[in-house]
Amino acid sequence: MSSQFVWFRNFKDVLSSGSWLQSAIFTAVFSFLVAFLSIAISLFLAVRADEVVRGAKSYKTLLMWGYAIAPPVAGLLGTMLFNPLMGDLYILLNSLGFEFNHIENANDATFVVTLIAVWKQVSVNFIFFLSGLQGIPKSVTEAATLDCKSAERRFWTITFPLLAPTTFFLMVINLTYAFFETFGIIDVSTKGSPGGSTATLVYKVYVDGFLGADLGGSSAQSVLLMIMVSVLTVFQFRFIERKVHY
Amino acid sequence: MYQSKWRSITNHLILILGSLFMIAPVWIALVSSTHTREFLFQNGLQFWFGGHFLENYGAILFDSSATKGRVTALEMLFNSMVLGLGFAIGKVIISMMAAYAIVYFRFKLAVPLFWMIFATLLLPLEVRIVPSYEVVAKLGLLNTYTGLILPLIASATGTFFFRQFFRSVPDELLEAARLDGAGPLRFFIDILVPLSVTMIAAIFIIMFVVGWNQYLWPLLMTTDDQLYTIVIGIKQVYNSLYEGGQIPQFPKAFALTIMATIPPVLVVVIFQRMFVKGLVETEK
Amino acid sequence: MATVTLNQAEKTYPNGFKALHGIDLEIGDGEFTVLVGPSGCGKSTLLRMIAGLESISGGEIKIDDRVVNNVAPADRDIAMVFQNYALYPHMTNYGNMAYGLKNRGYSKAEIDTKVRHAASILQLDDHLDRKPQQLSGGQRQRVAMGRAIVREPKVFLFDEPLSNLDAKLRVDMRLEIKNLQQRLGITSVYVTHDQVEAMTLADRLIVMNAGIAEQIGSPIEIYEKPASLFVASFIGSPSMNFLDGKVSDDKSHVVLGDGSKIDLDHKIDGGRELVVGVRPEHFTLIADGSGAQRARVRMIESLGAETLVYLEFGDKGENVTLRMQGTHQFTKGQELALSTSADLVHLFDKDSGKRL
Repeated sequence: MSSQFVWFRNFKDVLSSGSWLQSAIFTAVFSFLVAFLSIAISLFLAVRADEVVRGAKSYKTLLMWGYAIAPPVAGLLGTMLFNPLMGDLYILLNSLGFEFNHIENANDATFVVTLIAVWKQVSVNFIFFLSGLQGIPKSVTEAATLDCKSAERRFWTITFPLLAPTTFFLMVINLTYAFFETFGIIDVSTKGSPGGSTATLVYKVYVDGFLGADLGGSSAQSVLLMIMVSVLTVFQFRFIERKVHY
Repeated sequence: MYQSKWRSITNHLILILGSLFMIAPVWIALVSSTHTREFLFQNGLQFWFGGHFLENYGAILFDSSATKGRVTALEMLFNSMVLGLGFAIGKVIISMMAAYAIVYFRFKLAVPLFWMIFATLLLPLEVRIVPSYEVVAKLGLLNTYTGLILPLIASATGTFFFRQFFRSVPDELLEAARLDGAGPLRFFIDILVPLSVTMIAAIFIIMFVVGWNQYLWPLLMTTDDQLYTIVIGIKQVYNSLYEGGQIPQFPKAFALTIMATIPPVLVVVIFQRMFVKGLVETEK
Repeated sequence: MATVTLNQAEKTYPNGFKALHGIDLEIGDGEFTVLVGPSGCGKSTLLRMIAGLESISGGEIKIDDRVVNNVAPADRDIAMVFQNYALYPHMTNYGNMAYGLKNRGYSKAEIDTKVRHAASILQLDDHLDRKPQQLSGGQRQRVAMGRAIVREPKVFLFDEPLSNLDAKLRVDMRLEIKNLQQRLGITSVYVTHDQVEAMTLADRLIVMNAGIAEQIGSPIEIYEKPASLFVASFIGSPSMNFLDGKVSDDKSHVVLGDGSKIDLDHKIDGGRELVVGVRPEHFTLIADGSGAQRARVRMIESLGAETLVYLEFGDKGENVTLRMQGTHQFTKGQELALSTSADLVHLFDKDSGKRL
């Protein structure tokens, strides 16, 4: 393979290409949705799991084992449920009159990958939230029960602020997950279709570099990605340092 | 603690729904994998077992034609095991040694080196995939276990974990060991490693699961079927589902999925306590 | 059996903080030396420099005739007992004691003899196969001492070994340490902030303050002739009373705040202002007499065997503590007349704090 030094042309090409921008926007939306939804769902479940007495251990196991599932496995399970021939969810959504078609409709496809990615991530967040909740001293919870009657209000005024460090940390973890680890999900489910509308930046690096053999452009994309990760990393370090110092 | 009856009932309801949400897809895959492809094609996905468990699983485990390649699921499971164990072992060793150096050795460039290592290592493999691939290819390590495992091991998560743990070991222990005539290597082997046993186990479990589930890197690395891990095998089978105008081989794809899932899930469930501890501590 | 010599030993930390300002000290063979002082005075640093756990920034430290400045801790032939025991939690107590010997290449049989011998001295025979977590605090402390004993080192170093124990156990262990040290006759350096430990254990006491050895001497010497205000206030409980005074023009006495007088031996210049120190146990109550010191009762603490009376003295209301044997009753505000003998009074320079 011959190569030639082209200064920043690869970067210019990447940044001016519509497909990269499309992918960047998708990645941003997708990451936000995945992080927000999986955090919300798992926090909700963790709070309830922390409250129950009977069966607490079983619920915990039932909700955390999903950590062990590989992203492509999750992707395959999702595709199967949305398979137009026999997928239960595909059939269900269409019988409800949604005219659901993730093969051709970009929004529907986004819905599918988001759902799979959230499903895969709930258990990790659940583990962290539950251990965070169990780290709150019992006396604090009891004092709150005396001071405030509404469970919901107690949650927002006492529990949630105390879980803030965990939540913030999980934000970073989930964003990293949505950026990188969802590769397997996308590669097995939508493959970025329709028309690259569900290709994350990492998936695009792979497609352009290894399937399209544009190593220069792909490397330039990697560098841009690296810059984004560095920002996230700095965030994370800041957070870790602060945590160490309290 | 006091709880209203209503709250208690909704708690259980919500948790049961949550558990179903997690389990349903895998359950459907499991039971659907025990039917024939014709049956699935006509009746859709199933919610209860069929009678073709042995037939379907036997075929993909031992007959390479069922997986559309030249490799059986059994061989893929073996490859996954090698990747999972190799990754976990390598990760534990490398990260322990790195953390040991960072925590216990004071040299001039320690701090900048520490941050440099961390900055580079925290960049996931995905962003350095092109250069990593180039390096491994030039070293002639494509389609080898070494090439598969080695680049994956270089990451800082485990190092950070051990760093935290080593820092919690009281300094006096090091000092007592120094007075007892233990050099750096002795202290590491005689004191630090035995003290870290539970930590090592926890990290090992997590890393085994992470290694087993690797996807992107094995996908690039292994063009030779003989090195396919089971997670890669899923994709290959899935890709060939619609080939040849036949009825898609869904049951076998599901069977493969289930087999890819069982080992890591078992590990996580059996060693749940250790695993949770490890996970929560790692990320501190 | 060894001597330890410190020659202008200094410690400056990389951040420029000077923890020790040139310490000179000679510890005789078999001597029990105690370093005492408030936290941050540099006593632990000094001990750790002898151990080799801290580098020496200036001067030298010798064990016997060998300068050990650049000798590794393990090669200095010393053993140390740490405050938090620092036992290896994953080893049995036997393993803990044997570890140092093993690293020094002793044979299994030798190790076994030595460990069992130390264990019998410390009454640990039944606990050798257990792990440190299964023992009580006092027993763990014994294992830590056993680890030091088996090595038969030239020097024992103790870094506040009793401060993690409860009060009663501390007294028992104190006696045990003293016994053991006398029996084995090994040169020992002991760091503590507890003056009772310091007074009872030491053959020689070193009172440290802000990186300086304020006074070195036998416990009684230090109690009877404290070299500075700092030493006077640090040693003795309750602390020594300090009153402002002024030497009369004819040098025959010093005048206190209430106008009362204490006789002097004419050696100090007339008119000089100084600090007069009197220990609480050196006041006696007298029937109202002229020339005696007068003070008003502020508070009383009855401890049974003795009574502590807190008083206000003179116009300035200086605080004075009085320690009396037995139980006594006083009412708040009651005026008492005190007397002390001139040879029990300590005089200090007002500016330098040095003994006069």
